[in-house]
Amino acid sequence: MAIGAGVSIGATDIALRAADMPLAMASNEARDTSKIYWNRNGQFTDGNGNEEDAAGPASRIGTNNDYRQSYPDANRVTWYLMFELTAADGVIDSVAILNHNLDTADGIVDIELADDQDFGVNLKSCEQQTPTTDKRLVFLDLDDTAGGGQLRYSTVQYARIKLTSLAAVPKIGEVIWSRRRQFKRNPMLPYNDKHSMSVVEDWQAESGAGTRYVRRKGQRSESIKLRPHEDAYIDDLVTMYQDDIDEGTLPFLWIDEPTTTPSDAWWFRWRNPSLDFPLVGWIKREIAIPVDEVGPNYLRLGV
Amino acid sequence: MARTLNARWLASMRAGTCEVRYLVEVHPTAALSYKFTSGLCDNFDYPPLVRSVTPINRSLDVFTRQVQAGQTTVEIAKDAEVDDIITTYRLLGKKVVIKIGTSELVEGDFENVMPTGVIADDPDGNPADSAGVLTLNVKDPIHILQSTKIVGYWYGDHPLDAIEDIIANKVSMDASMYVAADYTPATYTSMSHFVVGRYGVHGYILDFGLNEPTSAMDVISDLAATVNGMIFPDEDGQIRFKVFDSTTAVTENWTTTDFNNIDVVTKHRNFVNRIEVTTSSLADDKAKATIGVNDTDSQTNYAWPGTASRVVERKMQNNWLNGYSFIDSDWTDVDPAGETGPGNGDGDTVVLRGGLMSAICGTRWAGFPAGAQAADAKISAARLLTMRIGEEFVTFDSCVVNNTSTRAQHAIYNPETDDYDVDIDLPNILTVRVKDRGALGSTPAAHVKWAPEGKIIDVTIARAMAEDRLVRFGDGGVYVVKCETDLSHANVEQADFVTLTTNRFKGFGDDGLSTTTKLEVIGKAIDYFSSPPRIDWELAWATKAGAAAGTTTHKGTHLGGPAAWEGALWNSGKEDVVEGHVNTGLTVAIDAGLVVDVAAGFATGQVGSAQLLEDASVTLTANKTAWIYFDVESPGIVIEENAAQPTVPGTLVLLSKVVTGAAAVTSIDDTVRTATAVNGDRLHDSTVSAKEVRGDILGGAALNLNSTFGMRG
Repeated sequence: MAIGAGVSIGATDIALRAADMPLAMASNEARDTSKIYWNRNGQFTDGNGNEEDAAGPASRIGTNNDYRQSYPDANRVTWYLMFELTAADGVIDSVAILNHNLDTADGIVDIELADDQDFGVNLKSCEQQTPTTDKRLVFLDLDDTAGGGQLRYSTVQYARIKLTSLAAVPKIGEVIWSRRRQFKRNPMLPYNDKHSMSVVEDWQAESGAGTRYVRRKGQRSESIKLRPHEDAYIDDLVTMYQDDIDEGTLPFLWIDEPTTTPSDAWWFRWRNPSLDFPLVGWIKREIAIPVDEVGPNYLRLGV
Repeated sequence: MARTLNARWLASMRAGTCEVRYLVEVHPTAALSYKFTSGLCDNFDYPPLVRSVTPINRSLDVFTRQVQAGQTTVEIAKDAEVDDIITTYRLLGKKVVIKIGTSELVEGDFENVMPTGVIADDPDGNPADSAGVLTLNVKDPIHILQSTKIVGYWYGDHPLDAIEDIIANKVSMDASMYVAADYTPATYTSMSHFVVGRYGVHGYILDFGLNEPTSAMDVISDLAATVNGMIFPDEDGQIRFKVFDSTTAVTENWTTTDFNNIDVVTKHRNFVNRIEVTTSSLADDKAKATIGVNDTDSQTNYAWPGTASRVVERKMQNNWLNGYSFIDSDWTDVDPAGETGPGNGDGDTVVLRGGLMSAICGTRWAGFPAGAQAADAKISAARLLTMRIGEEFVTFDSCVVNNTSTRAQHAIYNPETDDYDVDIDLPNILTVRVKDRGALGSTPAAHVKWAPEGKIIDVTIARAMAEDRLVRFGDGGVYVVKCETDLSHANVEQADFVTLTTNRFKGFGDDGLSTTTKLEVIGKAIDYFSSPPRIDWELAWATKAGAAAGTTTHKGTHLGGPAAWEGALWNSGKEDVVEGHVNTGLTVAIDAGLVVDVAAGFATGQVGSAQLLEDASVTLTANKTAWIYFDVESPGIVIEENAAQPTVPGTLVLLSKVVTGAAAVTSIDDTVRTATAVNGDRLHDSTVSAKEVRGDILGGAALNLNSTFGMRG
């Protein structure tokens, strides 16, 4: 099915993002694919087929964890990581790449969509970035018309990440193809956005000398409180919980300041999932979203 | 044995703060491995899915030296790829390697914790509860020895040779899984003359072979006990051997900056001041001996109130101690200073003949009778042979091993093939030199040649087993102390020595512990997932400065009484009434030229009966008179060439007299065979009841009785 022309996410959301209101990338089309390929020519029908390295299969993408990287079987200047969604119903306006080496590999990254498996029909080149760090990459300005907009594409079935100018084998832990949820306001105060924790054990000798054993460090832990009153906003949050993250069981990306620091995308998991969203006023509801950062690649560790 | 850990590992582990990581490798095939870590590592990237590794706890029984195989349970969080491993490969019995390091180390700097574990089970528990976890029960490679059952026979082997044979040939472990150099008898000069034996010679009444499938580790443990040694896996996963040696250097000296939570478990573990070691239970009473060693100072020092002495006893037995023989001449009961026999004073040689000779210390001889016996295998002044005859202990400082008779070679039962291995040369004579009659506090006595009083039993190893342990445990037993250290002391291994410096310990002769008191590591458990991560240690006193050696005395406990010989009709005292005779077969006939055939058959002589399984061919010397015998003690054909009938031991049964010419046999005379089984001249009326009389009459000859014979009605 053909991808329609990208539609603007809307002036309201654009303005909210510009004001650095937080957004979430909760849905992920990569979880529902029939094929994920590495290929040098960017085509599913290419004679080389899936050129994944057996030690880094493409099936590692879309697994809700990023600690196993996927990579192709050779060092080439150009590679494509291609996705065929199970149904031609993908809705995409945001993309994120986690646990990668694309700065180290000197790559240039392009987000592309198309109507067919060979990416020859209605090819849309939506956004390009040249990574300057190996921190997670976030693409929020998809616009194949070069109009500088933030477009949302529907009925997507074929999507790919094009990597060029590579000087080393590219490695990617996870890819998120998402329809963003833009929040209208910052979380309620107190909002402990600096809260992180480490888990340590201290062993002490009789003299007091000792060793601190660090199990893990720098994990962000949060409780995001919201008090929406707009029907559409409330519906959005419910849909996010029920559909995007499958009744709260799947992880999602949270960006506190999507304009200022879009690459500070925290990958959270809803702790003890339950949609506790009572009315606290005539139309106002209140929700507390307790989250822990998904390990082991915590954002503060630079991954 | 003490390990040397790499400097980067030590520096990282000893830093005030460190991020410890487990690295677990699962090898579902020899060529394939899947690696997992317990957290992110800076220099390599394996899935950080190790959820827990339970303490790998290895312990050593300080008295028996038996090692408890280390085991651990590893939990690995499942993802799709871990599920694939489980469903694709058979994991049971496969190799797991467990290493430990820190997040900043490269993979090559991680150190082994369990280098060659084997998966004993992968239970996973309740799938509803543990759907996300792969659980592996992993054990040390000792588990392979514990789980493998073996049969076999061994003769003329040092205990270490037998252990190596079991590991290499019975269990068939690859050479990479054990260190062959550990099993070299020459390494242990004080006991290189030790010999053990488990074998059954065709025609012998008793079969000492290992015929029932038995855990290889159980068999090896018995062997290791003979030399006060232990089998254990080292940091490279190889099966090692080590003898307890209190002079071994200390690996580390720990102070209060190294350890914590010291706890004195006991001050008197394995307290024993008398140890009795009995030779094999496989033998009947004729071939068993016990040697008891006392620490009389300890027995006095630890007497109960109002008593003069307290004996705390422990008994041991070992089924590898089967060596025995027979004195070949009568011994008188003499004072060693003025003895007139055997020999004419200390230092004279005597002959031992027959028995389970290749289980006697000093008989190890590779390729016997070819070549020469290795020097370290020989009996000497520094490596005495201690034997017991009756109630007397005798030591020998020299032993010449030989096979003097021309005979059919021996057949030994091989339980692996359920058949006999034939043509095996075994010594039948030991010429030993007396060092001390009435040794170890016993009283010299007269002994009659041959059985039963003439049976002499090797207690060399039994004596060493008792004495070695009494030195350590005699004075009130050993202290056992527990403490903890951080993970940086992982280089210290089981059976290594450490010292603790603390003034918090008080014991007899020890006002505090210091570097002068060696402690042996008998327990070690590395627990990274505990709170806090640590190593738990159990230490046992190895030596104590200034301790006086206890005064030892020895005593033999006579086991059983004289028993009827196999095949004998009755025992009338010093002179046996049974004549050596042929029961069936064993006829001699001309084959061709100077060759005669001896038919298979069965004969009875002193010490028992024996069977020649198959016809034997014998080539005789030209122009001689040959007396052909069948030896029931070491079954085979014996030829004595002499014009007149020679005087031979009662174990040789005369079959025939053969005269040869220049190129052929000229006559065969079977009439020289003994006609009767019972010598009536030796019957005594007080010892015989009518129903015990059973004449075995050949050719209808009458029972020959003298006039003094009387029978109880």
